[in-house]
Amino acid sequence: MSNYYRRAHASSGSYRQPQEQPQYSRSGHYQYSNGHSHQQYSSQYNQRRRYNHNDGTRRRYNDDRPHSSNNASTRQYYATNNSQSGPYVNKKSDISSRRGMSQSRYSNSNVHNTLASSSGSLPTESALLLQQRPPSVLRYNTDNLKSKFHYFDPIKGEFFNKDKMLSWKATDKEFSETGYYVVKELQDGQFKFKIKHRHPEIKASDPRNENGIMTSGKVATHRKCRNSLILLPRISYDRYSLGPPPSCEIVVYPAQDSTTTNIQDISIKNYFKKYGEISHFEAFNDPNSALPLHVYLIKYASSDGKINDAAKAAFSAVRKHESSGCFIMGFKFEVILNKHSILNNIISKFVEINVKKLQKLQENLKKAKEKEAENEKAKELQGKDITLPKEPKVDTLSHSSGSEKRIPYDLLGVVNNRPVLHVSKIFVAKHRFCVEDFKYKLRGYRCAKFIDHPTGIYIIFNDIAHAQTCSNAESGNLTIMSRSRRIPILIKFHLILPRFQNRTRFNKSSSSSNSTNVPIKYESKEEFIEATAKQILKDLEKTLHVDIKKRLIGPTVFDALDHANFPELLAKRELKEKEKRQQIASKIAEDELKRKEEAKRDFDLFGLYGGYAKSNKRNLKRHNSLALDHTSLKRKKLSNGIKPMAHLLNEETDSKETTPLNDEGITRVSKEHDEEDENMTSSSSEEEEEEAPDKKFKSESEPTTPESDHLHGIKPLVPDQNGSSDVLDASSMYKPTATEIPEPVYPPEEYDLKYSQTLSSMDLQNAIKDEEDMLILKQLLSTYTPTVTPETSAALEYKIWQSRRKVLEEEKASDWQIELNGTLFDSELQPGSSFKAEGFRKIADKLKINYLPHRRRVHQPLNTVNIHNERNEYTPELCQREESSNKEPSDSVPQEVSSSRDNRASNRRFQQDIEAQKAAIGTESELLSLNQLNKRKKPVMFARSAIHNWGLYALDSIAAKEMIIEYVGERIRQPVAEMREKRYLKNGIGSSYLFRVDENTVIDATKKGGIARFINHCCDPNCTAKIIKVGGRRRIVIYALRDIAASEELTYDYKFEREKDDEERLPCLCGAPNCKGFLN
Amino acid sequence: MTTVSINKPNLLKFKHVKSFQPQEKDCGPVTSLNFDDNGQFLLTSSSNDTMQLYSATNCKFLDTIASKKYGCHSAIFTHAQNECIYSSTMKNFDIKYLNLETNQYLRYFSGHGALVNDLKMNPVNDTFLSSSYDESVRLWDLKISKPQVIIPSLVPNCIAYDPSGLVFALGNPENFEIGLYNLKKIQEGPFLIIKINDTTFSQWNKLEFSNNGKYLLVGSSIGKHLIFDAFTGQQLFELIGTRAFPMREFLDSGSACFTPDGEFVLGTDYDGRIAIWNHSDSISNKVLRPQGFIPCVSHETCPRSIAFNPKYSMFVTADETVDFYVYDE
Repeated sequence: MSNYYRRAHASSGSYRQPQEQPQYSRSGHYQYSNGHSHQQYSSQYNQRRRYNHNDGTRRRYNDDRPHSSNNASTRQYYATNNSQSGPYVNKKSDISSRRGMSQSRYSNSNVHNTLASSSGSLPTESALLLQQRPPSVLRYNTDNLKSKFHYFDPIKGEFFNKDKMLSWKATDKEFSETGYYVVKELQDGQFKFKIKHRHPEIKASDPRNENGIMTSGKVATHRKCRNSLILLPRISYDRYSLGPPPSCEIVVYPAQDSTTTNIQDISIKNYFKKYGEISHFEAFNDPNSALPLHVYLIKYASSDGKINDAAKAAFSAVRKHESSGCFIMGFKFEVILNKHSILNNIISKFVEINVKKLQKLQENLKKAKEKEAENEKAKELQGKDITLPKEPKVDTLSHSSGSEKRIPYDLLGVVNNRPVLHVSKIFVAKHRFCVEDFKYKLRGYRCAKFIDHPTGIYIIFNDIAHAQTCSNAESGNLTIMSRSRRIPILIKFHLILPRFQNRTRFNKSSSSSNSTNVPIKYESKEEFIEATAKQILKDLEKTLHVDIKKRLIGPTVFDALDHANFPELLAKRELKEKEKRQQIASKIAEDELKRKEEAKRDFDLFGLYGGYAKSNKRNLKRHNSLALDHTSLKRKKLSNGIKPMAHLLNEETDSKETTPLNDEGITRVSKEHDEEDENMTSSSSEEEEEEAPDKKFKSESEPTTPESDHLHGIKPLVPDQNGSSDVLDASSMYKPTATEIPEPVYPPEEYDLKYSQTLSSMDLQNAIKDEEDMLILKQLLSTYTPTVTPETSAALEYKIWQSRRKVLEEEKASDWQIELNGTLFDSELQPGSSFKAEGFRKIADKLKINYLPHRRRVHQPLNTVNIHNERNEYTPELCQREESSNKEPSDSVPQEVSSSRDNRASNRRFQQDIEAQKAAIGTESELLSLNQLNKRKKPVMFARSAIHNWGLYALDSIAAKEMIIEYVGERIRQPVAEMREKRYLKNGIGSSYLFRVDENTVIDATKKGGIARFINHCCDPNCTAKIIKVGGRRRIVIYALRDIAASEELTYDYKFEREKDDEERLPCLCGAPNCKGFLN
Repeated sequence: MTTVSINKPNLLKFKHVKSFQPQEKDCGPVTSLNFDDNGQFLLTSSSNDTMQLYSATNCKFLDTIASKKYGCHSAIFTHAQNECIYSSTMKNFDIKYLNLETNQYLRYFSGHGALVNDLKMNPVNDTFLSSSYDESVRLWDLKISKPQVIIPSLVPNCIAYDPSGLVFALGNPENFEIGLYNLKKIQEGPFLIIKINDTTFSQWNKLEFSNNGKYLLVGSSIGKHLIFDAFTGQQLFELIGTRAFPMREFLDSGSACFTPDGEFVLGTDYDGRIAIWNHSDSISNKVLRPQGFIPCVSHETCPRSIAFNPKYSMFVTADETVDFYVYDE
């Protein structure tokens, strides 16, 4: 009983012991000379199996049945293993070829035969399948492996080391054969483990049914039932991987919904560079048209030769754009891995699309042609003899599409009969495109010139063919990012072909009207000389003509036309003039009549007493009447007067008139203007001169009685000797009219209660126009008799004067304000007392708007900087400097520029030297790094500015196009800039010192930066900011646009993007004549 | 996390991506395959006294754990990801409890008198069953080195846990009987004995409950598998259509397995392909033929044992090589 296994063999009685089988020795050779022994095994096995069947005794489950009943049969477990090796099928050839293991093959055809004969009792399919078990293969017969307990001898069908294994009953003899279990039991107040015997004869219950657990989900099990599996990440390719290496190529092609683009291949390449090193980049063209399909094949490379890196790059590139596609320069592309024949499929698909497009185009063309032909036929039928100039097809197409565009007259010279592509101004303005956009987009074409014109953008080509190809390819295909909407916008071009094909450019340039210099080629020298001679002769002829006109004809004609020569003609002329005057007078009278009738019609009882009248109505009429008798010159002058004063200030021609800008001047102009309206007169300049002192007297008059003022009010009554028309006018005014109700002579006066809620003496005075009015007033007031003492009368007079003066002053001030700024003077700005007593206080921007722009206009350029030491203190050094500075400006400007250029060049050389030294030293030293731009800096300083808090001022005069200063600041990325902007706003830093360099970079000078940040915006700037590349970095440099005087504030255009929300807009205080009013 | 549902078309999309071949000098077939509970790692035991740890999610070989002195077989993860238990194949028959990270043995479970051919971890708690050729099946606690229960059995024997952790099955291929035991009343006999009527189906080597608890798979390497109703014990399906494997020198861990949803069975074929049976949609009491095959790229070896990842879309087969199959769109 010591060796259970041996006993088991004994009981089966059909197996030889290993000792008895020398061929199974540990030598490891399992070669069999014949199959005899195996046949033996098999037959033995079959016998046993048959025995079992015949016997009918089924093996019982050892655990639950009385153990002693069939001990012998249950212990045959090793013998049964042999059945695995029993039914063999000869599959030698098959297996040897597949596994390449012909050496240690174990095959026996005899076995098969015996089995076939013996196992006829198994008719089922599964039984047949079972027979196909291939012969076992001995592969591992080393001693090392054989020493393992789980080494199984497939031929013998038993464990090689079975003799070393024992039954548990042999080791744990003290326990019953039914097994035991350990329980924790409470004994003497302590938990103790007790070993208890099992009772397998008791049938347990199914716990699953008891608990009703049908699904595993109710128990916290580690074996959850999952209906879906998590996808694995990309499996990296290594030496264990099977199959072909993963694709490290990607195919990039335009998305279905995006139109064909004109994106550059290099931008695609650059975009996909970020995923990995590109070893191969290929762009595919349409084989039919050789136009780019925008299908790209990108192959990634791996640096260390491992294919995995490249595949990883490709995979990540694809994965990134899997869901949403990739947008390169606003165009959508799809990215997929290049597997199988995907690339070819895509290319053929796009080619097909193109072919279809072409077909459509051709059809359209055909249709258009047919139409054209029909039209021509119709015309011919009509019998009209029209021979249309032969124009190219595209031209007719574009014409038929309804784009009848003409080149503006002023551009004709520039265009010079060349083909032009046109984009309308409305479209351009809407999206705020600029010429540069088109320049950039169409850089692939041979465009001669880009012109930004008020009517749109014109792209001139030298060649019709180029223009046509460009138009065909790009019209409706080209997209440019809209600056206002920030989406790509399709651009349509209108091709304007030269009108006259047959007229050569040579003719045109030779015609003197055009200034374009198209070089004329001459065949030979003689021809050239001839042409020159012709030209000279022409010029001579011209000068001769002029001379004759000036020196001969002129004087004789003038002499002949002397007044003295024609006395009778003069008399005639006088007569005629008189007639004319009369005619005009009668006309005016007629008009007046008409006007009066109209006035009568809308006669207003309140109007009579100085109520409000519809002023605009009056204005209309006035213009009508004025238009009749005013000369164009005078009218122009008047219209100038009507204009707001702000415009007057901006016009240089009128500046003389307005330069003596005291309040009197302004009031005078307006007053006079009013009076003109009232009187319907044309006032000549002489009249103005005469009236001016008079008025001056009026406004600054001593206390006057109402009578005197009244007199003044009816001043037009006084006949003016100079202007005869005035007299006529006045007479017509006072002509008696045939109406029942008394008519007011004067038109209803606008009566303003703005300043005083009660009727002031001033209002009264204004209301009374003539003696009649006075009479009526006196009648009205006769009922009231005030007690008049000499003191009170004196006081009254003074009070009247005082109130009158106050009203006048207020009126003056407000008029001034309105005329200057268009807004009323804000009361908050009016000091309660003297300005000196006010002290410093902050004036809100809103209030500043009221007066700042005006002040800018008045004192231009605005100087808040006073450099004191300029000519006041003369120290020897200063004198020297003065001299030198005086000398330098005396040099011509170009020389200065050239000297600065020399300077720059020498600087550059110096820089190169330093670079060389740096290379020699071999270390990156901060000390040696040189800022080139600093060298060219101009002397500037910052001080308070009228435009905005601080401004930058030139200390010296700066010539145009000189570099002034670099805009220095932190270089940050766009998202950071956005974040910072928000933070600054939150922190109350209202001023923006962010300067965009390009799409991704912004320079922030808010916290760290140079003084260039103080430069203010101006709509009419004297500087400009340019982005230049210095040492591979983009930097912002401010250049002078024009010559800048010393202590002039430096400004440039911020070029902020237009803000749609009005509340967000920043008001501009630059005060430039062309000020847009807002920064953004 | 993107997932893929388990259905026939998706199962057919699994691709043979990797094949790990052992070095020539320490050649030996793989005797067991086991995924950890999260499906992240794969532990295989090789007959050359080493265990291999693979990353299942990356299909990468991670580490070799040597057990040169005592050998290894049937290495399985405990519920901790870094711990495993395995049985010895040399010198003694102890079960070893190893921390994979520190490579320290936490416990030896000794008591078996013969080769422990299979270990099964309880899916709910930290107990496990071991089946041995010493005619016993033992229940162990990871914290105690002595067996808690000894159940006598015939050899060879197969064991399997129900996913609920309440029931285990103990089968003997020789007497064609499978007993279902109540773990709560382990002192008593099986509450259900399933008898296999097909006497030709004798050499099965694997028992497995499906994860939905409905089915009990009896797998063999002779190209035929049976599915029983886990509750009634009725034979439901007979899965045929694959070629049988020849006997080999070492044990293997079964040629068929359920998918994690228990709706499909994947079986290996001697021809080198993986057969897919859809039993859940079939009428019971039928002989089922495979609905499709997943081809094996490598012809160096053929798959024998198979194990499906409980969480991720991959499964492995093993014979002399370890082959990874991954779902690939």
